[in-house]
Amino acid sequence: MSAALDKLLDSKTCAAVAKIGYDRVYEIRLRAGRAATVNVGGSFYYLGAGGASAYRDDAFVFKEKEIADTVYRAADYSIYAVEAQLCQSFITLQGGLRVGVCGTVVLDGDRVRTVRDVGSVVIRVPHEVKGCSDAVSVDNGSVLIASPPACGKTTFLRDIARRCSRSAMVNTVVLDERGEIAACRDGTPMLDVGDADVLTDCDKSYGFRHAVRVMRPDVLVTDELMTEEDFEAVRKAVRSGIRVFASVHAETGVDLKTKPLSGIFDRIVLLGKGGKPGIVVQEIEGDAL
Amino acid sequence: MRWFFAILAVLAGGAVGYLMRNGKKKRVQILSDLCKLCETLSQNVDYRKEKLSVVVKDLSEKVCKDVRVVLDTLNRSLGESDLEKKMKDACEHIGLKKEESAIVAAMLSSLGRTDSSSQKDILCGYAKQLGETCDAAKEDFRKNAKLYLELGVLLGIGVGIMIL
Repeated sequence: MSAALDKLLDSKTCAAVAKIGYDRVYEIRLRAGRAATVNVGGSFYYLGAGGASAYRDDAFVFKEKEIADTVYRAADYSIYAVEAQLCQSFITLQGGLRVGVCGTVVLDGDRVRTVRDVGSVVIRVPHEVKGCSDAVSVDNGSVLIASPPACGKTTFLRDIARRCSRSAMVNTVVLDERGEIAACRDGTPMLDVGDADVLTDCDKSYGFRHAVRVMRPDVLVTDELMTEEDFEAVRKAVRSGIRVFASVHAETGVDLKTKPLSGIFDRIVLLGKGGKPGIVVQEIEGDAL
Repeated sequence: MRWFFAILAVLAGGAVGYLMRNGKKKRVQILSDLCKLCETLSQNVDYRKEKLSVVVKDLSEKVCKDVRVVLDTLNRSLGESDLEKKMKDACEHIGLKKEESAIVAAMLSSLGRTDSSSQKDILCGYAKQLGETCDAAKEDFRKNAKLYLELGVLLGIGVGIMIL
């Protein structure tokens, strides 16, 4: 992981991150003309020459050119080669690092052509926490993992995929729309998803259809259900007899009532913050919603 | 002995003329390869979506030795802040004029910085500029190549006569 970060960041930022410790960093946020921040063990600090700091004055302030150079490095000096990912506002790097970008979206009709004038990047450093999902049984039914952001939903799902495919030995397909779960590069998962097959860079509707037809999965793992179409795709898969493990953003069980979950999941697991992924705060029966 | 030096002077004059002619020919070859490179890069960006370092490495095997030197420098210096300067130096080193070097350096430094559609447009612009330069170099070669050789030989004969 440190090698991938070294390649991505400039020397001063690298030195600052090294002072904090690569393993403790969850997220690095660089914004043009504003203070850089870093998430260390779940809490945000300013990122400066001395590492993490509570004071804004200590923070690095990056210029637009430095942000553009970071994106250029993230793309391995070939923006055109990663434009399919860039259209979805992220680039996946070796080691599972993910660089999210914010800037001006260039449209070509209804299609996103690219994102230019990037003003902010968020570098998310994946952490594999094997066994973090042990509190949840993977032997029966479909499960929805719900939590606010940064509670470890993706880490949790990755562990579930690994457990299902390796320990339980069932055909497992990971539908990794944004490359966060398995972080595939050149077809090989950079993060440990066990023996699961990974379908990446495609929307859920196509992915579920394709996976069901081609891979004959017993279990499908996917993250961040957002649209009606996403839920509908999961519903169809469950009706086909496939067990689905998915995640969704939700603060509480009440938030889940606004989502079209009816008849899809057997159980809903709510995760909470606590400095590490996989802290189950509540488990609800699917039909209780 | 005088005859020997006179013949030597004629041969030396001819050799100078030949070298000057070859210098022109080499420039035409370099510019012609760079034009083709622009077109091939454009196609690669559009269809292969392969990393720039891989594309450049592949293409460097299909161009003349001098352009290969420039492409190797590009591959070694990708991501460096003084990339354009290094490219310019490499181009001047292989015998391109300053203004030609500036165009080629700007073209090579722009690679990989944008999406494929914009990259293609940029390459198309540079291909046009390089094409014009290449045509001018070809015309210059066509007009003057023989002249350089003849002037060299005449100069040698002149010196030979003076020796005699």
